[in-house]
Amino acid sequence: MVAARRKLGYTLVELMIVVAILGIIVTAAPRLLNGIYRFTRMATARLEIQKNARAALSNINRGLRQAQASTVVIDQLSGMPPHSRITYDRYTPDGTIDRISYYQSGKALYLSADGAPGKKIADDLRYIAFTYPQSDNSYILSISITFERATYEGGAKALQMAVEKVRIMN
Amino acid sequence: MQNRKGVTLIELMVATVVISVGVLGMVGSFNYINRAIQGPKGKSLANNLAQEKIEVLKNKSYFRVLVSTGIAEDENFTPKYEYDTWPNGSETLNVGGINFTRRVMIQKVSEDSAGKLKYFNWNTPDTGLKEIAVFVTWQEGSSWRKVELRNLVGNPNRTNLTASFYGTVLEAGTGTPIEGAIIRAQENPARYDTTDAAGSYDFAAEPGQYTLQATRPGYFPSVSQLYTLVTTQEHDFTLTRMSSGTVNGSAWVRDHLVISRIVGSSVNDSGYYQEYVELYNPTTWTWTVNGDIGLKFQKAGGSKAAIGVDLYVRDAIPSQGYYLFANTGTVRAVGANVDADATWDEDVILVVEDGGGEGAGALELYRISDGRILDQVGWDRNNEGKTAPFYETNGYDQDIGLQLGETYLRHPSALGANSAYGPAYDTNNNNTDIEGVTSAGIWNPPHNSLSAAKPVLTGTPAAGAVVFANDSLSASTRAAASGSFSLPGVATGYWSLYVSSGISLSTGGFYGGGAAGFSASAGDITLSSANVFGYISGVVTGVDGAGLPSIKVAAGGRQTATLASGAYLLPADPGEQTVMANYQNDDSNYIETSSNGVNAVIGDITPGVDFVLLAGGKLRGWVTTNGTDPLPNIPVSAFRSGIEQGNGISGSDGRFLIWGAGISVGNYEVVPQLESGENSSPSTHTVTLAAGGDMFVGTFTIVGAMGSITGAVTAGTAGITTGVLVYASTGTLSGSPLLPPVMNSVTRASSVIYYAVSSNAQGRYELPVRGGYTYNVYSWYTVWNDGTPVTTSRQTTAAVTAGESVTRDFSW
Repeated sequence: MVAARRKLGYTLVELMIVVAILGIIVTAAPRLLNGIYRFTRMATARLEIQKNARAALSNINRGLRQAQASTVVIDQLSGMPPHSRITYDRYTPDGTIDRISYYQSGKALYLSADGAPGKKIADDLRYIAFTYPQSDNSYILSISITFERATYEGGAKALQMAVEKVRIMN
Repeated sequence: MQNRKGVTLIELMVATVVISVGVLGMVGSFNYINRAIQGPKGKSLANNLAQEKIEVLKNKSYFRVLVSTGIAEDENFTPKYEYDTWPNGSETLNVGGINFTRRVMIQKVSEDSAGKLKYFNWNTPDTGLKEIAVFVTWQEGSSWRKVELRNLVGNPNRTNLTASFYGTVLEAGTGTPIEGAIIRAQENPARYDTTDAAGSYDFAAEPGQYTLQATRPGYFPSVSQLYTLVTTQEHDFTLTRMSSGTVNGSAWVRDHLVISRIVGSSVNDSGYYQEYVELYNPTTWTWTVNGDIGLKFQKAGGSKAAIGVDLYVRDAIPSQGYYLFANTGTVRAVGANVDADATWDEDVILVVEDGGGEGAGALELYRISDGRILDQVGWDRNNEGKTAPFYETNGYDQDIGLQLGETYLRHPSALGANSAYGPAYDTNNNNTDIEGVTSAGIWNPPHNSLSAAKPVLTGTPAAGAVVFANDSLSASTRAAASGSFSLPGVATGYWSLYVSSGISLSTGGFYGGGAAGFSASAGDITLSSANVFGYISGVVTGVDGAGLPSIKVAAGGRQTATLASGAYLLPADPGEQTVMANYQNDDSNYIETSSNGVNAVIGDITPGVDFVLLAGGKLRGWVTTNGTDPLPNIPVSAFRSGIEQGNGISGSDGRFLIWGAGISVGNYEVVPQLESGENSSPSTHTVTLAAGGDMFVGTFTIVGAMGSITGAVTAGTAGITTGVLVYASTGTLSGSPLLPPVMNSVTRASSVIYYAVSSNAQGRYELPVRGGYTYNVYSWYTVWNDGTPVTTSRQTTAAVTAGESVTRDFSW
C-alpha cells in the first residue's frame, strides 16, 4: 500500500505567499487595463482624425480645382468660426451648374449641393478656414483644416493638415 | 489513492506565468498595431506635404522657379538622392507629431527625340523646361522613409523641341565608331549630345538654322554645313585622328650600392695572398659605411656570417665612386698599389686552391640597421655539384668555381665589360651581370673611394614603372621586367616623357617626329630624381571643344599650365585632390571649374581629368525698393535672342551676379522676374558684353514687392497647434462680433486688398504682404464649449518694408 502523503491543506506561509502574489496581480491589473483603454482611445482617435483629415482635404481640394473662380464666396454660418464656409459653382459633366458648399456646423464638416440639406462628411472638426493669400488674386486659395478628438482624462489628439495655394482652374 | 484537492502553489505559479506571458504578448502587440497605424499616416501626411510644395512651385511664374545650384546628397537612402541646398533649401515641418524634411531638386531638362528627359547643368542656357522633384523624408523608428513627387514646368513662351539631329561619328580611315565625341549646335550650346559606343548621337532642338560641330580629344574637330532644321536632319561625321607614333626606351633605377668586383685570392709582389671586394655607388648621393653597411660571406655548405672589419680608413662612398674592402692595407694588382678603404685580417673568401672542395660561395651587401639586402653575388662550382648558397635569380655559372687570381666583375651595361663606365648593371641575375676574368691574373686594378667617379649607364630595370607623355593623346604604359617600354599613340612633335616608379622619377624631352607612325627612341632613362608626386593629366577645352593654352591648373597648392593643345600634367601631392582649372580665375575670359575627388597615387598617373571652361562673362546689377534700400531675393534673368542664358538672385545687399555657359559676348536683355503686383523701373536693361567682360548693367527700382508679417500664436503659455485665422489689410474691419469680410467677387475686386493665412501646427504663421504699407492685423481663435464655438479676436498694426519680415505675436 502506498503511504498517503501527510499534507492536507496549506501551511500559513504558503497561504501568505499566495495572498501576496494575488495582491500584486490585483493591483497591477487595473493599471494594465487602464493602459490598454488609453491606448485604444488614442489609437482610435489617431485613426479617426487621420482618416477624416485625409478624406476631407482631398475631397475639398478636388472639388475646388473645378470651381468657377468668380463665384467663390467665403464666409461662415452664423455663430460659427470665421471663414469656415466656402460656396462656389461647379460645372457637372452634363453641362449644368452645381452650387457646392462646404461648411462647418458645430464640430462637423458638411457638404451641400444645390441648396440641399447638408450632408455630414466628417466629425471632430476643430478648425477649418479658407483663405485667399491675396484677395486680388481669385485663382489661388489655401485651405487649413484641423481635426481633434478627445482621448482620455480631458486630453485630445489633434491633426492639422493644410493645402497651400490651390489653383482654381476655371 | 490521491488526496490532492485544489491546486498546489506550484500549479498556481505556473498558471500565473502562463497568463502573464499572454498578457505581455498582448501589450507587445499594441506596439505593432501602433506602428501599423503610424506607417500609413506618415506616408499620407508626406504625400500631402509633397503635393503642396509642387502646387506652390507650379503657381510661380516660370523664371521664378529657381533651378538648384547648390546640391547635396542624402546619405540616409540607398541609392542616395540629390537635393537643393540653394536657392530653394530644405524645410523642416512637424505635422501630426512627425518631423518631416521637405526638399526639392529643380533641374533644367529637355526632351530628346525619343521623348526621354535629358538633364542639364544649371549654368547652361534655358531649355524652356524644368523638372521639379519634391522629396519628403521622415523617420519611422530607426528607418528612413521617403515620398518623392516629380512634375515639369514649361516656359509658356518656349518653342517646342519638335526637330532633331542624328547621325554617327566614325574614325577616318578605319571607320570605327568614336565614343564620347560631343556634337553641339553652335547656335545654341544647350543643344548637344555625346556619342555612345556605337558612335551615334541624337538630340532634339527647336526648328531653325544650325551648324554642328563634333569634337573629341585626340581628333581634329569637324564642322557641318549650315542646316535648316525642320523635322529631322542626319549628319554623319568622320573625325581624323591626330598623327601619332611610338616611343621606345628602357627605364632604370639606381637606388642601391652594388658589389662591383670580387677577388678571392691573388698573390701580391711580396707573396701575400690578398683578397678584396669592391663596391660601386650608382646613386646620386653619398653612402657611409662604418656601422651602416656590411658584407656577409657564405661558402657552399657553410653558414652565412658577417665579415668583421678591423679598420675603417675612409667611411664615405661618393656618388658614382667606389669603395674597397680588403684583407690588406694596400692592394697590389696589375702593377698598381691601391689603398683599401676598410680592412680585415683573415682569409674569408675561399677559393678552389684553398682545397677541401671549396670554390662555390656567395657575398651579400646589407644594411646593418635592419639587415635589408642591398646586393648579392653568388657563384657555383658545377664540377663538384655545388651551387651558390644564395644568389639573385641564378648564381654565376662556374665549372671550377672562384679561383686564385680570378676577378669577378660586374658589367656597366648589357653590352659587357667597358672600363669607361661605372659597373652598375644589376638585372638581379648574377649569371647575366657578372663576368669572371682570369687572363693575365687580374684584369685591372680595383678602385677605392679616392678613385675618379665613372658615369653610370644602367642600373636596376625599373620593372612596372609608369611611362607617360604630356602630349594629351597617348595613354600611359608600364615598363616590362627588363625595364624596356613602348608607349604607343604619342602625338607628333616635341613632348616631355615621364617615367616614374613610385618614389623616383625621370623627366626628359623627346622628339616624336613629324610623320604619323613614327618610332622614336628615348634611350636609357634613369629614374634618379626623388619623386613625391602623383600625376594628374587631362585636357582643358572651351565650349567649342578647342584646347585652351596657358590655363592655370592647380591642386592642393601645386600648379601647372596647359600646353598649346590644352593638355596639362599636374604633379600633385598623393591623396584625394580637388583639381581646379583656370585657378583663381587667372584668365578672366573663363570661369574657374573644379573636379572633386581626384585620387593622386604617388608615382602613378591619373589620366582623363578633363575640363570644359565656360566663357567668363559676368553681368552685375542692383535691385532696390526706393533707390536706397536693397531688395533681396529677386531673380534677374539675362536673355539673348529671347532665350534665358543665365540668372542671378539679388542678395541681402540687393546685388545680383549673372554668369554661366551662355553669358559670353553679345547683347543681353537683363530682366527682373516679378510677381504680380510688382513693377520695375526700368523693366529691362539692354547691354552689350565684351569678351571676358564684367559689367554693371544698372539698377532696378522695384515697387510693390512683398514683405511679410510673421509671429507665434499662443494660448496661455502653449502654442496653438489647431489653427488661428490671421488677416492683414490696409482697410479697417468693424462690427460686433468682429469678423473678416465676406470674400465674394465684390470684395476681391475692391481696391482694398486683404491678405490671409492660417497658423500652422507649430503655432506660427507667415503672411506675405506687399511692402511699403502699414497694415491692420487681425486674428481669430476659436475654442469649443460643448459643441458651441467661442471665437475671440485680437488686433494690432504692422508697418512692413519690402523684402523684410515684421514679427507680431498673438496670445489668448
